[in-house]
Amino acid sequence: MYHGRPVASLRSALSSTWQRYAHCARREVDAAWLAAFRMLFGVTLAVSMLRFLFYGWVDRLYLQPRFHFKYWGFEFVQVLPGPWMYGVFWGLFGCACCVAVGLCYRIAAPLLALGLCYVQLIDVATYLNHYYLAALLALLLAVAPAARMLAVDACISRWLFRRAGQESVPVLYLWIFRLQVGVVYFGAALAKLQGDWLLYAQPLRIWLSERTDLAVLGPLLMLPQAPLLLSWAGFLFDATVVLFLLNAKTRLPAYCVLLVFHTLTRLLFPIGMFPVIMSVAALVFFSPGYPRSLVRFVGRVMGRQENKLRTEPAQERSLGVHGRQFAGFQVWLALLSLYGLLQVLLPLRHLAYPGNVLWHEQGMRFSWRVMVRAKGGSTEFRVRFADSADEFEVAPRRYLTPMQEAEMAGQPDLILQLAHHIAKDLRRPGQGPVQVRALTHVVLNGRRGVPLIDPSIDLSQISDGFGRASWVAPAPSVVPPYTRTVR
Amino acid sequence: MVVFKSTDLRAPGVGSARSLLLGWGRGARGSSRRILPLLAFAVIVACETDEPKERFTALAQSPAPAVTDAQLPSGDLGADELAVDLSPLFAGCPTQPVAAGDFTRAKLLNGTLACMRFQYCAFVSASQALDEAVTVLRSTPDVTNLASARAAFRAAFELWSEIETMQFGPVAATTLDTYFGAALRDFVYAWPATSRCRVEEQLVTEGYTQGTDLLWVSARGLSALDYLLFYEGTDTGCAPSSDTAARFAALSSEELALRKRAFAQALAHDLAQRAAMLAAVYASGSAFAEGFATAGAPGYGSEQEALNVVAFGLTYIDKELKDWKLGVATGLVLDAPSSEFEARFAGLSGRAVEANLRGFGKLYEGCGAEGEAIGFDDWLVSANHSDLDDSVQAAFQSALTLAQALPADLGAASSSQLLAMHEAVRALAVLLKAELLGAGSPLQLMLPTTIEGDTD
Repeated sequence: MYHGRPVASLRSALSSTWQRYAHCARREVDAAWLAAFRMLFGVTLAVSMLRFLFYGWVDRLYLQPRFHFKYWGFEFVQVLPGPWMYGVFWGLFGCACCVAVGLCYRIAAPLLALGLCYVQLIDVATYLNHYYLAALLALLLAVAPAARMLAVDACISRWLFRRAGQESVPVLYLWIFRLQVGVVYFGAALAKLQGDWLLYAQPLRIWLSERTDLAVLGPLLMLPQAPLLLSWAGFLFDATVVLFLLNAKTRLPAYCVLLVFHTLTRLLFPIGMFPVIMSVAALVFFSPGYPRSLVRFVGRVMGRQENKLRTEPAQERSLGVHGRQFAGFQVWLALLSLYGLLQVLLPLRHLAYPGNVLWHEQGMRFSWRVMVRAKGGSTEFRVRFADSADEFEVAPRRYLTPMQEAEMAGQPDLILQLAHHIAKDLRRPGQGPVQVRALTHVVLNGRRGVPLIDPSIDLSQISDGFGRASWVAPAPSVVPPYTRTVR
Repeated sequence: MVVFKSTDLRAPGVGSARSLLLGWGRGARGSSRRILPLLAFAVIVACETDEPKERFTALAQSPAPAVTDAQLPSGDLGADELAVDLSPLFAGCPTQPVAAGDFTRAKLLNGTLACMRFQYCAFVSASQALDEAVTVLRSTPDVTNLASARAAFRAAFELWSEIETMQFGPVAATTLDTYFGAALRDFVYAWPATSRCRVEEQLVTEGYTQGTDLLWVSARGLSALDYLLFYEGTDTGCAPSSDTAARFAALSSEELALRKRAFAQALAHDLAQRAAMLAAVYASGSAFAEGFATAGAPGYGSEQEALNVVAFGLTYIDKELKDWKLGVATGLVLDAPSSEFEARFAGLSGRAVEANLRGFGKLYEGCGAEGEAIGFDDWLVSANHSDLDDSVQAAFQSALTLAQALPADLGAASSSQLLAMHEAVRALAVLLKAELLGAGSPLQLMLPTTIEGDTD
């Protein structure tokens, strides 16, 4: 009884806050932004799938490897036989096209999201931040009502039921998309907030030295100050662009800067579709009715008065906050809020591990640490059978493709996974356990190489988990060297 | 001059829809980069694609029969007699490359090409000398002419062992050079895809009398000549139950010796022709050389990419030399594609190790005398990474010194010698693989296989 009133009042306050939050989230805004995003994202992913098919990546990344690195908890995900894998990618291409035009959206969008997740989960060695982002955006699209307008489904519905389609969506979806894209930029800024990047311009100094043959940029990149200048520019861009995009007055110039930034990164680095995905994704920061404004502007420039897309923005309105429909919305709101919270926390999880995340890699994935490390190395396994004093050498190429081997060399958990696989593979019935040590030599951001893993440790006895990986050797303490750009 | 066309084997889209749909064959981008160096070569390469795999499987399952002392050629030569003076072979070659001014990537590309020309020029001389010596041996088979032919073989083998680490362009496998690789190296020396039985099949059938163009790579080149010129036994390496074994056993020793000399002559002649063709590929003015030096489309696309491919050839030190040669010799490696030493009948596996390291040195330091001329070392120094260069140089010198102390045949080396040699090469290979090449390279020398993929 003594504590009853404060608890009750806290509950009441929380309930009231939640109701206000739900009420705000339920507010309907123009669905044009979501339709535009759906179309552009669908086209981008369709192109992306074609790249996989035409560049032979399906073979090289999924079918050629004899061993695949698994994500923790997703060991059951297996690669399909060759023709089926090609089928998956053609299917994803088809789904992306359907998403783009809004055809069978309620089937195509979840299939696209599931397919991308499946492809992502096949092999950790193929992890790339932009594939991960593509999978997340596809998941969000799958749960969003993105086919309410500018979609074949909407046209069919209008034709069948003879009624105007709904052209607004709850603002909740705008929030979650903005949060998702914002987290990517903030995560990238956070990753650059370290000495290698800001003080020594590494690894940018190494990477830019490769591109001195570019027509106009090349001579500029030869300037000794260029890498440091670009390092700071990259950090400041990532750290502030979302703030500028959120502000209506600075939005357009910020987006133009964003386009220049991503065009430059595409020119300088082999980052595939990432610049396109980010340029498309950043459009969510514009006002929800921006496609209509754009169409109106284009129409005016072209001298046309009318356009198929109604150029007046849909009225923003608040829907009722009671009833079963609202209860369902609250569940949805809670789930998406949890998703958003997870997206905010995931890039920060490296703080739970002491040491340099670029070295031990605990908290590296799913954290938008984009292009912040030039890390490579060599790994060699030494195997000892229980009944023998002799030690044998096992080269990773016995199990891995060169691409997988290069990816594994700098990632301790992948080295551990292969060590376990080797122990299992070489163990014979009736024989004792197989000891596996790893001789590693890894370089980070131009520093000289040092062991990544304690070579005396039998990795077959180590389990991977969320705890600190004490078997990973300390990161090199020296500062990165100055790499001179050579023509 | 050999015309080295960079024409695609098939137009994009033609014949690729099926492979795209069902995943058969390579991706269109990969296949569109295939080239047609010489039609006959391409046909043979296509015919023989599966053989190394087959050989790998067979060797992995059952080690090849060892050569006993009784089967070795009588009157084994001492180390001094095995020593080959290669300098006369370079005599007629263009001027040895020299360094000129500050480092640039373009200079390194040109320097590398000059190095290739210099090496191939000597190899052409060596293979012609071998051809002549074997021709003389066939017409006048005596001990002196046999010794001359063997000496010519040793010279050619050593020179080729230097070239082994310089694999880029059509000579390289497609896995090493995804742009121009045509595995032409296999026509000269296909180790570890060698097969004594394939050679003996030819001796039985005398297929070589119809020409050498359609011979398996494992039955031709230096590895076949090693057997034909140095192995004097009359037993066969083919399965006892096979038809070849029965027919081989039916040959008299005189007939066998006669056929060996005839086949050796055909192969030596073929080798000389192949050497001349390869030299022409890298010669000044050839399409490949032009594309390589300018490094633009439709070649490697950029200077950096061309250098990536050249540098990737240096991984020979890691895979072939450390794992397949020394790893097998020390017993440290369990699964090499061949359990046989190179040139095992001539007993030159130790010399090959030294020559491989010399070849590495020529590519890394530059082909000039005493490491003069432009090389990757100059690039490291120019890029302010001279400490890495110092480490590579120290590891290289240490490995080379140990290799020079090895007996000509690795089989005669002591266990401690082999282990020390393996460790020294390992130290060099780690520096190459982890620091000079790959994602952490300060020179951005990326492994070519990773280049086509995205990154972030």
